[in-house]
Formats: sequence, C-alpha cells, structure tokens
Amino acid sequence: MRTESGHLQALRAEIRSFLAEELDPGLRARLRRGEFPRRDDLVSWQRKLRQRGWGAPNWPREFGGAGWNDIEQLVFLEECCAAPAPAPHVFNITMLGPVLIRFGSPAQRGFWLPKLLGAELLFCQGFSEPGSGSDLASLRTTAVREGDSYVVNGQKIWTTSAHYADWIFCLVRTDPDAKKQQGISFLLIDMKSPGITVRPIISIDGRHSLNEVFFDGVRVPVANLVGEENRGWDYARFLLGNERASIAGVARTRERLAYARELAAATRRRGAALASDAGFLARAERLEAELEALDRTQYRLLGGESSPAERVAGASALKVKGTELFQRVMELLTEVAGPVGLRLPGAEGFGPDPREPIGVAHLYSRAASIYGGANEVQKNILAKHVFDTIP
Amino acid sequence: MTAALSLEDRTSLADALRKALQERYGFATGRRQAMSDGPDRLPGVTHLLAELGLCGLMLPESAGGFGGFGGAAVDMQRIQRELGRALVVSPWFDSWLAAQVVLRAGRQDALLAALSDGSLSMALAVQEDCGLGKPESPPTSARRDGRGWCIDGAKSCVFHAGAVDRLLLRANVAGEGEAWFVVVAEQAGVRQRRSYRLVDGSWAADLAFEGARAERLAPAEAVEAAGGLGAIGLLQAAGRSAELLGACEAALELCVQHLRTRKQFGQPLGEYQSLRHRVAEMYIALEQIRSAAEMAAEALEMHEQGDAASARRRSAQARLVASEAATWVLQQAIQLHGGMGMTEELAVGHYYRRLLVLIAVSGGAAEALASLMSKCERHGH
Repeated sequence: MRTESGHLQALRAEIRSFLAEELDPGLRARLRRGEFPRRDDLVSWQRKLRQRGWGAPNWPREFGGAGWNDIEQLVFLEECCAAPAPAPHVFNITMLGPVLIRFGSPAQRGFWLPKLLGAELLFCQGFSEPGSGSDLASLRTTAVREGDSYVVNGQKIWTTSAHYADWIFCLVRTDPDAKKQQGISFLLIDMKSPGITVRPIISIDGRHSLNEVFFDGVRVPVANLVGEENRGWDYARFLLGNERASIAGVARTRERLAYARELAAATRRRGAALASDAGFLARAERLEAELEALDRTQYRLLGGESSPAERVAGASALKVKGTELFQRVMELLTEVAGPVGLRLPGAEGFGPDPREPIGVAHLYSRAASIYGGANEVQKNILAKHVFDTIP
Repeated sequence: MTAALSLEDRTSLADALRKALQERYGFATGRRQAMSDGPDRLPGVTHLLAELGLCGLMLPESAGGFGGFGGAAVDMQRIQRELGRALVVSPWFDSWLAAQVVLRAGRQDALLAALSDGSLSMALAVQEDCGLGKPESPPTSARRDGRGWCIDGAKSCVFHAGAVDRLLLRANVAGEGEAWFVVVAEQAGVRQRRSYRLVDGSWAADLAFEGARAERLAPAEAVEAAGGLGAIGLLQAAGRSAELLGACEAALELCVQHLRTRKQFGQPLGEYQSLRHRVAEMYIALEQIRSAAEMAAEALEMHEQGDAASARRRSAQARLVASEAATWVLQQAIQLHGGMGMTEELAVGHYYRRLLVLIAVSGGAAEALASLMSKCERHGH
C-alpha cells in the first residue's frame, strides 16, 4: 500500500468501522461468494450510506454528496470492495447524478437528486443497442416531439437491472438528419410507461441480470429531457468520463485475490495446502505485484498532475489492464475452487459450500473486457494518444 | 457382432457422426434443449450415439467390438473431436474409459458385451470428496462380507450419476492396496448426497457409499500393467484434448462468420487489422491444440511400450498446451462476439463453459505444470 496522508488514513479507518458496524453479514457473505446483490440489498445499503452522509461520494455537498475529491472517493471505494460491500448505486449515483448536477435544470435537480440519493427509485442505463455496441453514436432509437411529449421507438440491449429498475436514462436520436453524434438527446423515462417491454437476456453464467428493453410509441414528457435537445452525446461522454475512479477495479480484484488465497489455504491438493503450492504462489505473487503497480498508476493518473488528454488515455489504460488482471484473478480463483466451483444454482440457489458460485462469477467476469467500451476500442483510443503526443 | 471397420470406414464414421450431429443435435434444437433435461435420465443424444454404433468402438474385435486394439485411442479421439464440436454432454467418453479398465481387468464378457452394444451405461466415480478445510482424499474402502464385496466412502462430482446403470471406482482393500470395483448405481448402499448441474449443463452428484454391494474387477496395479492402456489419466488426456480441439475449431468458425457480418463504425469487424490478427493467433493456437492431441495419443503409445515415465511427461505436456491454448482461444471467441458472446443464446459461450468443466475434472495447466516440475517426472526424462 502507498504511504498515505494522516487525513486519508483517518478517513479509511472511519469507513472501515462504519462497514464493520453497518454491513449486513449475510449480504457480505453472498457478495464474497460471488453472487449478485439484489434490489433490496442495493436500496437498504444506499439508504444506510445516505444516512452517514456518504450516499454520493462523487457529488458536491450542496446536493447531499460527500464532496470528496477523486482520491477520497477511491479510498471509499477500496474499503467497500475490500469488505466486500456494494458501492453506492452505480446508475443513480455514479452515472446519472453528476449529469443532472452539471446539465440538469434547477427543477430537475431539486426533484431527482434526493430521490436518487435515498434510492426512492432506481435507474438503469439505456445506451447500447443491438447495432450500436462499441460504435455507440450509431444508435437508432428515435424520439419525435409531439406537443408536450416525445414519442420514443426503438430498442436498447444489455440493460443491467432493467427488470427491477423504476426508471431508465436513455440516449435517443432526436435529429435523424444531423451528423451521428449531433442528433442525440438524453431522456429520463419511467419504466412503467405504456409501450415499454423488458425481455430477459440469460447470460453465459446462466443468470439473469441483463435485458433488452423495447420502446413502442412510448410517450415521455418534454420535462424529462436533460439539458438541451441534440446535446446528449456530450452528456454521455461526461457520464462515461466519471467512471474513472472505479475503472481500474484494483480494490475489487485485490479482494478476489485475497479470497483465492484464503480458499487455497483451506484446500489440500497434491498432498499439501494449495496456498503453499509453488505454482499457485507464482501466479498469486505475480498478480499481486501487477496490482500494486496498477494501483500506483491509477493514483498517478487521478492525482491531478496529468493533462485532460492524459486522463482520457489514462482511463483507457486503467480499463484494459484492470480488466485483464481481474479476469486472471478470476481464473486463479476458479482453479482453486475445482469442480465444486463450477455449479449452476439449483431451484433454491447455491448449496452450502462457499465455492459453488465461483464458476458463474468467473463466466460473468468475461464481460469486463467487453462492456464500457471493449478493450479493443480502448486500445484504439490509447494508440491515437500515443501517436498524437510522442514526437 | 459388427465386423471390423477399415481405416476408411473409421474416417467416414467421424464424418457420419458430424453429419448426424449437425442434423439431429443442432445448437438450438439439441444442445439447448438438453440444458433443460432432468438428472435422472441419460441425455437424449446418448441414444443417437448408440444408434450410430459408437459403443462398439469401446472394445477391440477380440472383445466383441470393432475398436481395433492399437487404434482404439485414435478412433476415440476422432469421436471426441466431433462431440466437442457439437457440445455433446453424454456419458459416452466415461463409458469408453470404463470399458478400457474393465477390458484390462479380464473375465468380464457380459459386462463388456453390454457396454459395446450400448445397452449399459457406466460412469467413473473417481473424484475424491474433498471439502474445504478438510484433509485430502478420505479413502474409499472395500471389505468382504458373507455375500461378497461392499464399499464404504464417498466420491464427488460423478457425472450422470442419477442416470447410469453402473459406477466404476477404485477403493482400498485392507492389506492388498487399491482395486477397481463395479457398483450397481441404483441400490440401497449408494446414496446421492447432492445432485447438481454444472456450468456446461451436465448433471453430476456427490455420492455416499454405505456398504454398497460391489463386484471386484482387479487390483489397480494389474489394470495399469495389462495391455499398456491402463493409465486412465493418459486416456483421459487423449480424449479431452481431442474434445477441446473440436470445440476450438467450431468456435473459430463462429468467430469468422461473426466478423464477416457484424459491422461497427461503418465496416465489417473482419476488416479491422487488430481483429484479423487475433483470428490469426487463434488459428496458430488451434494448430498447437491439434499437436497436443497428437502428443496425448503418443503418450499412450509410450506407455504401451513400457516407458511409463516418458508417457506421463508427454501427456502432461499435452495437457499443458491444450488447456492453455484452448482457454485462450475460447476466451477470445467470446471477446470477438462482444455482448452477444456473453449470452446463453449463442453457442460460443457454451464452448467456454464446457472447457471450464473439462479442465477442472481432468486437470488443467496448473496440474500439468506441477506434474512436469515434480522430481520424479524430471528424472524420468
């Protein structure tokens, strides 16, 4: 661990004792086993965080946020991951909140921010479409103005938690004639609106967290437009840029590596504890060293000495390396678990052995190098930066 | 009994199998349907395999099959490659392995005949029950009472345990060492402690043996020595590497088809050089897997010629190369499909799911490397 200022050490200690007191041991155990948090987990945790003043680490204090800088946010995230505890709600807090704070009208801020903070409703994210993955700006869902409403038609895909979310923030095309990035708007849509259909996507881990969302003549009040019409692409880029503090996932990966070591200590293989097996140790130590280095990389890139261009490139570097390390740790964890760790949940979920859900978590981890801009796209961004800046 | 097949017949058997699986076990109609089968019946595809005469391949002519003794493994690998391609989950390979053990134990004509005409299915119960924080391998033991042999102990992750007729296992006989036993699966002494589905859709169970009636085949040593094909780990490696080869071939084909048709930023993905290079690297890895399957078969020949140490070493090299290369290929296959690769609706992710199970039960890179680095293996070299 890097040497830390007294202020950060104190904050870390404060967060740790909060987690020790407030995190439900049952939820902690489920997350540690590799299961997804449920809706009620997310809601009650978000409320506990709000009560402590930490419901929105990335928002300014005047809107109910913790007002923390990037490094303080990272410390908070590290401690949540280490527990492990859920992070503040990613769609409400990390993604949508900052967009409303920066681009929303005063009325929108006053109406939405308290609701987001207290998880009175949960948002999901409607960006990707079947034909628009890495090439997000080619999206085709349309919104046509009719009086006081937009009428939305089209389809979103890979929508995490759409099956239990209350609202969705969507990118929609409001000007079909403009250049592709320029005709896009940012709309908030009630998931209970007539004309919305949610269809589950079962992912390769056999679980349901992803969905397709169909819009068939869905009427959305004009008041639910965020910012200006046809400026949605800028807001989306701003939103995606805000993921920097979590993009490397170092703390999450460290927690998984520690878990692999813990399981390895309790596993005997080839006549000895797996934790002392030379092959296991070689892999675990290599991963730990690379994580230590990535941790420093992210602190350097978040630390404010870098230029805006370096920050954009840095986010791509953190995403590529971070997801690669995460996936390698998940492979190691799966190997430690052996066949016991490759089960699908039965009708009553997983059985008593804590290793059982590791395989499905491993399968889901393969998405990490695909979502949020596939690693191939990140490398294109990086390559451009390297050629632009190195003489 | 069926007459011996010529080499051409054997090649055409693989072709016929591929064609039959394409027609009758397509991804949507076969594989995905099989994912909803229950634990107490053999997967439907098992009957298709029997119909095609694959059970006869389990045994050489001398034992009533048409497998041909030396060539048994070659035939088995051809079949396994096709089963890997089509994502078949069935007890065929377990039964094949069991047949090799039974054959070498001798004097089991009725059992062999039933295996080779497909009327009897068999599973291997070889994974020891190893709980977290518990000592490795609590020994499964066999004892003799007035009525014959009975088994006490536990085995975990027995595939198709709820559907097969017989179980084949090793147990320790006091004063004699380990021996192979055949156990009727459905009897009072065999209790299913837990039945579950693995990520590749196969059903397995943890079994407790509580005075289970058993038939003793032969001492483990005798089986290892007889006929040179005794070392079950070597056979397993040969079969699984061929299965991975078929899986990776199929996954690469799916990737190329996807890259040709999917467009992003106005052009087919297949025109991006980085993705073309990825496909080229996958092709190279695929050739390595093909070689690994050959190495695994070569290890069987070495064993047959009495060079057990070289055989173990060659087999471990094959496992190392095949599992590492196949893991990478199948991960890339998902990656190249983007979000679609993450769905249960596409075949590509199912190859990776199958790989995870194959590697966990038959030993992956870590286990192979440990074997190669261990003192006795290096001395053997």
